[in-house]
Amino acid sequence: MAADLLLVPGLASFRASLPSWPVEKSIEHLISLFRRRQIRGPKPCALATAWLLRKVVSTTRATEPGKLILRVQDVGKKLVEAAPRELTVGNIVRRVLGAIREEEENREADTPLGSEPNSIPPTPAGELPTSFLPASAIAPARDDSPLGRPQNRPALLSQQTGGPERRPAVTSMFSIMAHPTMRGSAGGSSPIRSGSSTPSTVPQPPQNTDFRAEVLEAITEIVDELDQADEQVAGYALDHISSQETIFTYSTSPVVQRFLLKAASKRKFTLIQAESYPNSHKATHATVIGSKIPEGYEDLDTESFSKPLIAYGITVLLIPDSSIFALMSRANKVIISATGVLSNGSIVAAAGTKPLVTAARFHRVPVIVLAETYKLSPVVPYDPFDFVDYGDVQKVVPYQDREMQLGLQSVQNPVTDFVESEYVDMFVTNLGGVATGYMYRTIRDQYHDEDLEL
Amino acid sequence: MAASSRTGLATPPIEENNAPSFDIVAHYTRFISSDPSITPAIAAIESLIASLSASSLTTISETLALLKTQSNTLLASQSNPIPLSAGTELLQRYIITVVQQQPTQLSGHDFSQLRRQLIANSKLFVSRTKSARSKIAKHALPFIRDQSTIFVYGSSRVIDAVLDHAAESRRYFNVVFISSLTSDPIHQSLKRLLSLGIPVATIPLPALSHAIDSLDRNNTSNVLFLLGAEAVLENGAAVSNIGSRLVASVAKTSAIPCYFAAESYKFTRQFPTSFGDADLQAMGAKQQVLKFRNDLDGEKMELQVDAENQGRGDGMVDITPPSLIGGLITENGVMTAEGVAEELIKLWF
Repeated sequence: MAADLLLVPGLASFRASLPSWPVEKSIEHLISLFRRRQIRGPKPCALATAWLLRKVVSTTRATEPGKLILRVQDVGKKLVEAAPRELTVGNIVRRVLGAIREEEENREADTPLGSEPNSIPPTPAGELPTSFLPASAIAPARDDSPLGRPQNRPALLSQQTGGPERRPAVTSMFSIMAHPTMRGSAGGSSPIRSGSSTPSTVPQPPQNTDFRAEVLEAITEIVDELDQADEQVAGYALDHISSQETIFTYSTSPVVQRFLLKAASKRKFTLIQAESYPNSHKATHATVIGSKIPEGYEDLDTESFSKPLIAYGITVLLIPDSSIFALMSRANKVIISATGVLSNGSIVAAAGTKPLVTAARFHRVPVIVLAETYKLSPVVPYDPFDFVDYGDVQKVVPYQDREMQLGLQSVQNPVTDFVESEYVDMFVTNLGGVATGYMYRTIRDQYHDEDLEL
Repeated sequence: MAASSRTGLATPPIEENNAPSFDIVAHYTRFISSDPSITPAIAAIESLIASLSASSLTTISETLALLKTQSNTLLASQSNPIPLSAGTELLQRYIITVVQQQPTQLSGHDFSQLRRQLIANSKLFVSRTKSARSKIAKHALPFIRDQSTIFVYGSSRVIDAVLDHAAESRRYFNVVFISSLTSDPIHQSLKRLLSLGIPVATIPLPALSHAIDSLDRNNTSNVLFLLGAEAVLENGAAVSNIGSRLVASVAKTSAIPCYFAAESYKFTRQFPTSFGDADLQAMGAKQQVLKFRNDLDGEKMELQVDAENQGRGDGMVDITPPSLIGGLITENGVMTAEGVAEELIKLWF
């Protein structure tokens, strides 16, 4: 079985091929896997991207942060173009870029020749150092940076200014005020360098190999985070599910399953599960009965699927999608997962989620969305339809039904839905519950502003 | 000038000498009328800086006291001081923040340098505001796809910049102008867009709902509303020409996104608990829309736009609640209404 999996182009075969193939070949391979949708879904795409970028960083000849960033950006752009609707690809690329930038900052804070008189590149947030990246400016105030980033950030500010230990977070509203000559006087300690740093005047070969090693370590942490994210989200299950509640859920997804299983081990509740026809109903049935591993998830850790909820004594009502509205009034809350969360808190989720949340709003049932941090994307939803992905038309009208197909103008099978933020009452991420209104902040904190546009 | 009304701080003697020689209201009026592209907030900042240069103060506390007095004078003279207050607050907080960042022993020396730079660079602010508008236009561009229909209301320089940029970027879109009470500036925008080859329709405000249903959805795949704002309040609510809230409400019920475009210097730390006359008055605006009367003699019965500011196209304003705002397009990108409070709090950190 395992050997067979390696022959089928997909995540497992990609992983197996990575150690032995040259890096350019691996890049082309992944691009082709993305284009042909042989790797699909937020987690597989994120894992594949992270593995590939780890290989890229470890084999690159670029020894300076600036060049490394350019290399990762170059590869990242190609990957994002190959899988334009898989938001997690872009997210992981941005995380890796962020890790490189942070390593660069740490490095510069440590070297005594830190400040170089090079121009600060334009950022979307304004032209001047007063328009600081809020994440970095506020970071000293949150020492427990829980996002799994390297925690070795030294106390940058108190080293270099004689003034207050904590610099106030500076608002970008000042961007019209500051004059170029004021950059030096307005607290000139380490402004954010974003990778176009000129080579430092003192050659530092031993530090450069360390630099790459640290970036690799950071990427490994990202991969670990990807693996543990489900478990971390599930850790909050007991906060959100009380005894004797009725939970409504839709389709099936590893994170929701884990969440419910965690709660099921301690609480007795009822679950209403809508099957999500035609794209996920088979997987949903399998999950409920616990009969077989749902397709598409073979590559991943399947321990959570071995025991279905009914084995814990939870009553599960499996219903067709047409009954969603009818049964919604019985539910206490709706718990669903998103495949992506966008900058303003709106989500991309399985097709059929929109009618579901509309029914929930009608009946005043709160909607909780589970979203691991790698699904949080800083992309602005200019056009909701950009995020609707289309799938296998056969599931709607099989090819055998030729007459019907010929009679229809077009048959479509959208597999994702776009849901505006106002329908979501609360998010649960690896870091706990986040209110919808605060989601923009959580997302912004994950990435550097310069990486917003790849 | 009348004796300054301030809190219990001791009056520096210099204050009395400076006040009669500098008429900030006159300066403000001059700035506003001399440059059509200038906004009230920026003109307020420039007037304050002019007052700073007309004074000979060299200490921080005297300067801040002067700015505070002059701000109060300026704001009291305007019928709608909310946009100006955004500018005056920003300048004062900026000076305080910059001073706080200096090591204390250098503060005196650097302050006079700061003061010189502020005065020397007040012209720079005007050009920065123009560049802020073009940045907003750039951030707004992805919203305007081909085959879009954009509804705009009243006249707004920011929205003009957005539409011009989109037209120059060769997007193919239609514009529907909803005329507000001050219709003259629309004429200019209309001419400009027509000359750029953009089909334009004009409708009066009462026709809005009907017009939305009259759109040919086969020809236009994307509809949106773009409105400008004079000021953005702390909870993300937008202060704009009266009628904006109505337009945003209609957009909401028709499930059409409504975006407000405003530069970030228009954010002001006023928090409205409701959105009517009383709340505007609490923020300093002298506006009373709802006036009951008991007799008919001689008075016109329709709503009078404030005649004093008519020439600038400023008139009555209303507040659009954040729930109706799909997004705020600023020069730093697209923000949600909740993000406004964070930007403001950073000013006061």
